[in-house]
Amino acid sequence: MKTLYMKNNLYFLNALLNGSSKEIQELYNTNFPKVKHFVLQNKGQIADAEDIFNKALLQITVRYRKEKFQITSSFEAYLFTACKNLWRRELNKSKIKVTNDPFYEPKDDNEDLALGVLEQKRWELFHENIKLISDNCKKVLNLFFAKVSYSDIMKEMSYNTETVTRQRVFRCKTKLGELIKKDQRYNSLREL
Amino acid sequence: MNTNEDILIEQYLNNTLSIQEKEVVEARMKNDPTFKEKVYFEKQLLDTFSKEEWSFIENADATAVKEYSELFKKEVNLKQILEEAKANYNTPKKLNFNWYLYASAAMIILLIAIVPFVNKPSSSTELYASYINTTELPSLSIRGNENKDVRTKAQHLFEQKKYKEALVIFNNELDLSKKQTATVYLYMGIAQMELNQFEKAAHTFDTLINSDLMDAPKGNWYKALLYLKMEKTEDSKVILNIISNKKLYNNQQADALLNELD
Repeated sequence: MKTLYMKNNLYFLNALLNGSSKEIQELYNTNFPKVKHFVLQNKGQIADAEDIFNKALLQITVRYRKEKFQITSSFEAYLFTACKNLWRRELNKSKIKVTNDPFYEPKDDNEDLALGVLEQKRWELFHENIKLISDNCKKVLNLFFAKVSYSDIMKEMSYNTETVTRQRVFRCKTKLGELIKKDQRYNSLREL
Repeated sequence: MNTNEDILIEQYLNNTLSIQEKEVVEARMKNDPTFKEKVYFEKQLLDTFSKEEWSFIENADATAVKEYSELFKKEVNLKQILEEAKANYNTPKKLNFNWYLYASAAMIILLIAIVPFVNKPSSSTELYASYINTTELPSLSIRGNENKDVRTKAQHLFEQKKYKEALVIFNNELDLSKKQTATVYLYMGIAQMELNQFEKAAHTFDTLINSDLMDAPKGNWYKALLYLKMEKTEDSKVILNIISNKKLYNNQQADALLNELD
């Protein structure tokens, strides 16, 4: 299955690298409807969908040009995830940050796109590593990250007390943190 | 890190600490880089795995940003091609009979001819998503209409895609045993369709199609889209052909859609 994807993926990646209009139009026609539907269902307009769709294709191109990264799913699925993430990023831009440190203000669109790439890379690093922890931990953490209360996690997982639940969450989070930090990609993406 | 520290960081990030406690945490972050990294990392975890949030890079590595930013700047050609692809995608549907339409139509034919193996047909649900256009719908609340407030409220909910709530209003506040305007049937049918209440949607569109209302033919177009959403492509094609042959509402879009389905 992966080889099948790879051939198809290379076809589109090369089209983007070489700026082949025909194949890019094909990408547009086949993939844009789904992205448009998603954005419209999530507080956006058609113009927003067009904007993030183009940004996602640019992002993929630049990354592939720079580091020949591997797409392990189908190109279409990867593109859709990239679009969903970029749209979530747009929706959250207006929110006030929690920490007080100086925020890196992008000077122009290109810098904003650059930040988007780094954030997408970190998103992938985190998501690939959560797949490596035990099923039980995954379940606990999914509940925790979905902001389910400790008492509800306790019931859902049939733990005896909230203290036990907290400890389980803590241990699973620590495990996930260790995996992420051991990943060689982490060093270039960490922030101090 | 121990669980107590974990709880403290969690409360800090959830904004549930008192002002004094918050100041203590922030002072510690300033003086203790390890603690600061823990806070940052916890925030990254929470934002990354939340379905609504996004984990922004707050203190980026300037070299990496510069490197990528330079690369994006150089993609002038691709940016241009993407703008053209966007324009070509939009043009055929607007049906402006100018050279641009012919050029893009020619290009699509070329594409179909050249890349038959890679040009996968879009799935019917994707086609549904690209053809359903609720912004074309006439307003529900026309002056002089009965139940104007009810209609305004329903339209407002519909526009916010709160279809369930909109349907509650239609079902409770309008006497559906009496004939309604075509617009009411369209709004109701689309809301039911968006909620995957397929049978109800089909019934609503049928009521419209079989009525003697001027806009009754509009029901055909939306029923074709309904079948598309249900992945009943063949049934959808039957209706689209009727629309096309009888030159009913949206027959040009029906032709375009039939082409994409073939």
